[in-house]
Amino acid sequence: MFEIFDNYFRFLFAIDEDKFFQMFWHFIIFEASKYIFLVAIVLIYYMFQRKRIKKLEDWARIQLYREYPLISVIVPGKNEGPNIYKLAKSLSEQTYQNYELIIVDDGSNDDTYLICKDLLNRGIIDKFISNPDRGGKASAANTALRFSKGKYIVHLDADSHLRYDAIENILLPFYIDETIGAVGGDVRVNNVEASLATSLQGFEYLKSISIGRFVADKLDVMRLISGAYGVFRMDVLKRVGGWDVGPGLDGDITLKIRKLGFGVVFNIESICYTNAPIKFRTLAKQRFRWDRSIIRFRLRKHIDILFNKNFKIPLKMAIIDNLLYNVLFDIFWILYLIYIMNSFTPYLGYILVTNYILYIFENYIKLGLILLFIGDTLRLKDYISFLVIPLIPIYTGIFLKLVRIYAHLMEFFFRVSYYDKWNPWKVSKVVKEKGI
Amino acid sequence: MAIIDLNSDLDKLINEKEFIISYVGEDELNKLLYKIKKHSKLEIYAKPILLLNQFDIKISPYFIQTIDKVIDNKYYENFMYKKDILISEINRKINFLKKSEYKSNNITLKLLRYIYVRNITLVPYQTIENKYGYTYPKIDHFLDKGEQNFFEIFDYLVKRFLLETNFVDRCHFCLECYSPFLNFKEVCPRCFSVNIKSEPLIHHFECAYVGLESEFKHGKKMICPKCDKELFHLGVDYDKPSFMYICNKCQYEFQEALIQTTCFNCNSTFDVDNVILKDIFEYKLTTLSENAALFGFESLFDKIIDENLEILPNYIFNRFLEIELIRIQRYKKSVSTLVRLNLSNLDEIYKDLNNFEKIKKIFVQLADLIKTFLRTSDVITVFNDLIYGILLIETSIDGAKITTKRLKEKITELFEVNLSQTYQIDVSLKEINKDSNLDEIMEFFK
Repeated sequence: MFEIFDNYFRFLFAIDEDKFFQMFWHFIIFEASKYIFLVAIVLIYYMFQRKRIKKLEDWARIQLYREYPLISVIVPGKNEGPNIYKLAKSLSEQTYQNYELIIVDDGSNDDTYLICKDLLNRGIIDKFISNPDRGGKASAANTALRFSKGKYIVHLDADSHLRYDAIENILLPFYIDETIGAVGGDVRVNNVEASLATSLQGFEYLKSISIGRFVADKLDVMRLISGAYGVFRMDVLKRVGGWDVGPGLDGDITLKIRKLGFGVVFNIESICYTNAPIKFRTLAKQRFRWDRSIIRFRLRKHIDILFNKNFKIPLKMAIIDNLLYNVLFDIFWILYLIYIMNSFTPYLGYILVTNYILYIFENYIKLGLILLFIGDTLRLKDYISFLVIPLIPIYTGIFLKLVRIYAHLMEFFFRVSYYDKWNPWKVSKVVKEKGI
Repeated sequence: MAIIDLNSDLDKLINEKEFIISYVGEDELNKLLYKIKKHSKLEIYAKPILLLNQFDIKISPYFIQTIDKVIDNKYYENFMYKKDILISEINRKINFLKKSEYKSNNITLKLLRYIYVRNITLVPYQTIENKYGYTYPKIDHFLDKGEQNFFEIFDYLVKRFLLETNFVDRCHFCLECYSPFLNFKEVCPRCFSVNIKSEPLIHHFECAYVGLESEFKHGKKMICPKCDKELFHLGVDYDKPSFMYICNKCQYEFQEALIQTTCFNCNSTFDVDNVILKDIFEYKLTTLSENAALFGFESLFDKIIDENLEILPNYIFNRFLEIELIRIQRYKKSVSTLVRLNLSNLDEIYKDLNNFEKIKKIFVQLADLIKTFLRTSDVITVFNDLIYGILLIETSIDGAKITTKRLKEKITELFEVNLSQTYQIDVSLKEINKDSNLDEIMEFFK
């Protein structure tokens, strides 16, 4: 055992800078440069801007309460009845209270109808629309939109709940910059303690949504507002005609809003807790659905954004990067593996172990940034997700990567998203025929 | 044979076998029926009524049901010489009831006796003439028009097992005036306006837009307001997942209208959940009806126990209680016990038994049992629904427990031996001591 460690340390101390780059170029180019240096630079820059932003937000808050507009919180979903009461309760505890809560039941086959009817009669929800025939998430969201009266539309997943100041905070960007069309909220995992899968997702959400989107926002390259929690200007939503058929309708609508020239930002101060899949199998299914959308929407439907004048150069670059990163990154990973297998055959084991350690190290740096940046907003149980950091490279580097590659290939060659039961067949059939 | 008109003195015709009314019109017939049926004498209000239709006038189905028989003019002569079984049977029963010593002009008893004499099933008749929407033509004229609420009378008779029911219809009645003439309407749940319209929702599959049908309609064409494409086929291009109501007054959009009802009679408006829902039945006699027609409605057991025990009126019993309480509080030594004996489900026994004599015998034995349980110093009263209150003077609760236990055993044995069925007697006890107060004691019997 000692000999193995001794050999490993001899290997580590023997490599010089050139060798290090040759052996770990994939990590240096695709991980360290982008996910550590860029993030760190942006966050440090932001630290100096904090006071200024705070002043702007205070001013926006005064404007918000001076106007005190009606907000429509729309919750489309199927079989979500049991979640609605908790959601309504979290809304009733919000600091911003001028809202209407609209629930759309999209063909539920459980007690959702009875539950929601009861909540409506008790005045806990403001409007309940039941469509016994399922039309899909987009049609349910559009139904809610059609009957919303608010100036802003908050789109929420039924199994989510909001921190007490979430709505107030998410509205502030509209009062800072009037060209903003939509604001994404910080989505965190509620049930981090439920299983290993949720703990891993808990950390993943913190680094990729809380920190990742915050940085993307500061670089003005926000491309996605989570379906779980986002707010849109009603007039902008009406102009884009609401949601189009999914899956991936959240990313789709964000790009549609961008195309019209409206700003899309992220507000880290507005926190939404959502329940993540507990089993890896369910998680794989969820990601399989999400990952396909990059091919279906970014590559097929919205490829024209690269020529759209409303898209600034950094955003175009980000979209190209996103496409390349998501699609080509996987190819580079395979190329890298082949390369080290051929060039450094005797050290293959050491290189893989070192890669693993580097990835863990990267995640601990991110943990540091998370604690430094949003540590004060973490709940006690969020710390559970930090215990699984040593497993994160396996989770993101193997599990999620395999799901992603599979999803991309299946969608690229077989357009599998059109057969997804997530949409009813009557809808999938039409959009497939029309090639939408 | 007596042909009567509005001027006839019915008392003088008391010995006639039947009344014959020559039909000249509904109005006169109506008045005559009131005159007969509101009469206090059994021999008159229950006498068979024949309607002689000399002029072949069309008689409404309602009035045909109010009398016993219609005779056409051409058959009149023949009919008079024939012995009519129906008339004979009615008269036989009138004569039977005449033997009863029990005299009462109580309307409920009159009705029961009339039904008993006719041995008829009372069939409800749907009408807008009566404010309750349903009437029972055979007995309509026992009450004045306007005060005809037979339902309470029927409920009373059914509760006493003197009539049995057969379901016919279920009817909604006004919360305020009991009228069945209600206008049910869908209203806006926010402003309660009736001025609402409903419209289907359209879901365009291709672009996922959902909106009201009117938004899609362009003349005869259906065009999606979001993507401007024409919709051709329901189920292929689009569907109608549900519909919405829109209030024309306050513009509120909703899926479930509130249903309210307004009464045509008293004009009150209320939610549909508040209407009185009542079942309409046919009624016919039970095996106990004859007994009630003869003796009246007081419970058989009431009568028997009254004869065997010295039942005190409630107010005297209460006075005894007051005095006893004062006595106990003054001397602070003795205790007495109150017994609450609930025999209200005794009436259930009626329902299953046909042998009136046997029941009577058992009830006499039951009364005797209670009598042996009481000492001469004890006092007894009866509250509503056969709840007996007994004050056991100078008896501790433990002593009362032993005695009542024995009584319960004896009663159970009595029913098991004689009727082969169990009867659970309900007994509760309360001690009266120096710390008791009168209000608390009186609560015990509620």
